[in-house]
Amino acid sequence: MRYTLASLDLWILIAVLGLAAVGLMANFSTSYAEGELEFTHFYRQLIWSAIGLVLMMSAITIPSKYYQTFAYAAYLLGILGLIAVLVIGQSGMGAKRWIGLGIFQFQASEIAKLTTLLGVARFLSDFPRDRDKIWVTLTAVGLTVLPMGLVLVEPDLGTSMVYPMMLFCVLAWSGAPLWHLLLLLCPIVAVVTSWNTTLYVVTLVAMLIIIFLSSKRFIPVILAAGILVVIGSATPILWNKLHPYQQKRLITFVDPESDPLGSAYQLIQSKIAVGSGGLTGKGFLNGTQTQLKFLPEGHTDFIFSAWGEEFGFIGTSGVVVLFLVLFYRGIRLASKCHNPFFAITAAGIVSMLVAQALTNLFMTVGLLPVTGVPLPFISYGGSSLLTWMMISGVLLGISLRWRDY
Amino acid sequence: MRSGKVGSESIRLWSFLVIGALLFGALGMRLFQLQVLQWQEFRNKSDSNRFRLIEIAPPRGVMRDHKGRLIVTNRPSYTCYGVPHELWRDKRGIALLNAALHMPPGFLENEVIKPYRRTFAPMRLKRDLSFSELSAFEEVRDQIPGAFLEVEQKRSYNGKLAAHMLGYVSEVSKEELEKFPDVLTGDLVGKRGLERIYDSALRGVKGRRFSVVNALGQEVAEAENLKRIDPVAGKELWLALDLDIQALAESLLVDQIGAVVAMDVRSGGVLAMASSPTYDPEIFAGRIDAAQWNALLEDPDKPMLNRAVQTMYPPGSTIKMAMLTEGLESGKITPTWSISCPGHYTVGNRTFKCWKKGGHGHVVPLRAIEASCDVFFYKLGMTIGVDGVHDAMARYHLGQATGVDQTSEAEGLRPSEAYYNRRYTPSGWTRGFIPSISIGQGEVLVTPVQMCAYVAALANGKEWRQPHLVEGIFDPEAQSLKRIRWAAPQPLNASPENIELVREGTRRVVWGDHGTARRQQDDLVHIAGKTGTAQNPHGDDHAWFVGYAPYEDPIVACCVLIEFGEHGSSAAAPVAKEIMKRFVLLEREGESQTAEAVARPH
Repeated sequence: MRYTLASLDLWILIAVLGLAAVGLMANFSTSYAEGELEFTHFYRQLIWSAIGLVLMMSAITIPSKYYQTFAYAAYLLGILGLIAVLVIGQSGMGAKRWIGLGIFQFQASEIAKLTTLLGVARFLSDFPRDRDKIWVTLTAVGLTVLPMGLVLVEPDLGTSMVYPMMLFCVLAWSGAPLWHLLLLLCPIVAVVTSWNTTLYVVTLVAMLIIIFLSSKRFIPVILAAGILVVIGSATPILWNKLHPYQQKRLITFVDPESDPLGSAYQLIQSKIAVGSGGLTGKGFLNGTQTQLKFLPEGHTDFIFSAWGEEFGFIGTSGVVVLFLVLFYRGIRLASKCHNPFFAITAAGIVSMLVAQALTNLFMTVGLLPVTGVPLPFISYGGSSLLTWMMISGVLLGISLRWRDY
Repeated sequence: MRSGKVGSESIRLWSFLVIGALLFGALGMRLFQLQVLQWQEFRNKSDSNRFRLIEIAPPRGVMRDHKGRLIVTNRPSYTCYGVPHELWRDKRGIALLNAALHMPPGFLENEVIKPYRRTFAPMRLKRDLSFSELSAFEEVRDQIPGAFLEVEQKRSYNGKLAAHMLGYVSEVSKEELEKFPDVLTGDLVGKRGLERIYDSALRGVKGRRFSVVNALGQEVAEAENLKRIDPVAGKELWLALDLDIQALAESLLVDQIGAVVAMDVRSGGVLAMASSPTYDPEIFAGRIDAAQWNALLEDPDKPMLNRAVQTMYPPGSTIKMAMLTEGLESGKITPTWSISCPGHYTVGNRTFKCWKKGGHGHVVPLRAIEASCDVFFYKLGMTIGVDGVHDAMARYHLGQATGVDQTSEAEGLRPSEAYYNRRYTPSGWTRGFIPSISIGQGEVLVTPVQMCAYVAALANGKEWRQPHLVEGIFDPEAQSLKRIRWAAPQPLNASPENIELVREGTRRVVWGDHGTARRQQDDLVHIAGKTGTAQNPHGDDHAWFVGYAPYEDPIVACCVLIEFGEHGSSAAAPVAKEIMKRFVLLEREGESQTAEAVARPH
């Protein structure tokens, strides 16, 4: 069968290319701010963009069926990569994240996002009739927790947080019963509500009722109650066993304003950068926060603030719209696929992308704690960009062939 | 079944879309809030981030001698600044910087930066880097992004020349901060001497400008649209001092402890004021280390002391001109009043010796000065009484502060009957106190600058002039000179005949057959004066010489004090002669040059 360019989902293609272009401009600006006359990191990003385009086109060209066929193999390779990082990896900033690959180094945790998704999607699509079985859901959880744990011990907290969000969305999309999802939420709910007894009791009761209504059985209710009670009562005890400095670190993570010269410094400078951009921005290369380096991590985690300062609300809403297009067209594609593997993979890709993008964006505008998650397509970094281009290629490949399966 | 499946699928699709839309909507609203609604607030914050008010220090006023030669100037020096927050992140960098700035191990990290480690504003780490510190810093500066150099003006003195009199500048203290309204922490202010007294004139007025700085506080550019206010340069001090005379005086004091004051008899201007031992005032303008400071303070010779104005000594025989003036003016003796000196004098059960064992025999006033007969003055003292001695000193402003423009001037001591009654209760005043003070020993105390003003008054014969260092304050911006109004000359209230007699006595000290300073005879410049020896209970006596020149038409007066010098004639007189001779010759040279210039046709 012959495919033409027009058979692709052009909206997705345009959004991906648009975001990569924004990334290049923003990197030019932060490169300029670094005072690098050779624009070292801009040129690197440019080269990676070119390689990324090739990777994306390769990923489109490969028949989508192959992803399904080799999903488990890819999953295993991803796990091996993560283990290799821990064994032979090179340290950077106190964490092992890199594998030397000759000319450049590769961050295994980035590519593992795609391989994990493929593995989980393959597993869920292999048991279409057992979606409502708890063992299927738990196996999917296990398949996700394994790479996530490996990323967490590197340690790379920001990247590891993408895994549970992706898993949750994938399970929801694949048709897992509501009570499975609620059961997965139980530990988080328990930790969050255990600070306030009233809130804790009310939430606990509400959760148990919904779980019962959803499952019509008592075992899940007992299970959920067990999790809620054990974790909910253990949290305050564990908290008191922490050293004061550990408590302080957790508090400043949740509430950075309590440490205005430390973690809040980044946040405050980021908000100033974005806010001072105004409606139209200060102009390309004219952002004082960025160019005078008041904005820390301007080319990686806080690149959106640099963009927002120089291009204003018009620029930031442009980027938000591009992500929104990816989200809408991706979900739309997932809902059209008859093949469960493709549907789940497409939904997983979109959830992963949106989860990571929103985590970063909410962080830069001061709505989420600073975790160190790069902004897909835009933040400086080869591994991240190449992985996202490849993932986009997979999504575009599916948009080309979804009718065939 | 099929439709049910579709139904649950569409619920799923819609819940994804709705949750996604809510999240994106929240983000959009947040961006709208920050960038559109609160835009101005954040713009102001970003402006205050990058604009920094920079004070422009005005150049401190220079000082010139009476011929316009520079005595004190400024020179550029390098100060190392650092942003504590930035430096603190890299302990290895701190160690490198510590080594480059030649600080004791760990000093920079623990003493300087640690207390300010959360501060983003740059702070001064070390002033006035030496050449080796500067080059060591340049080598490592790439590895220490938080540190940078600034050029600042540093006070530059002519070596140790006139150190005591000029004073020095140093970082403002907490007490001074409260006293001076427009001085900020870290500013340099005058601490002693002229630097202190004329500090407000020398300081000038700070300017200000706004600069664009980066996150490290490093200046990137000057803000163009914000107004710059230029500093007003400090005013110049024009001194009466003569550099040549000052240098000569100091060279003559080398390896001795003592003081020299030379004055222009015509104006009261101080031509030279030297104190020995001395110190280098420049060390205070940088960061003085504790060891240097303690060494200065604990030196038994007290190099920081300005002996010309801050130390009191008994005047010894140099008081005798004042005594004679008072005797003649009070009418209690006449120029022909005579005594017989057997070499000693007895009051009650105490015997006072004359310095000449065999005695001077028949002594009249002129002879009493020339030969410095002590018995003559014992008897004169008994004749005029203790209050007469007090008045004798008062006529010439001895035993009281002169008001010279120096810090911490000592007053001296001029006893009266009331003083003795107060001091020696219950026995109180007895006539037995008089002989000692009549020859300037015991409880009469003067400073070298008082003695110089005294002999200058005698030289001009009519009035006492206030000694002073600064003649005028010159404003370099307005190119205008403001002369300082010193105290009006105080008449001596003595008849010309009596003064002439006293002056003749001082001439004979040098030129008479029995004079105590006969070795200072010089045909080129005729000097007159008086030697003195101040008894010192702690060791060898101090040597005095006060004099003026030329005798016929005096222009210069000089006072020399050499601690432990024993004899005024040998230790002090040659120094005074050298100084006065040099000044008179320089003046004559200047006059003949002027005369030539006038005579030469153009």
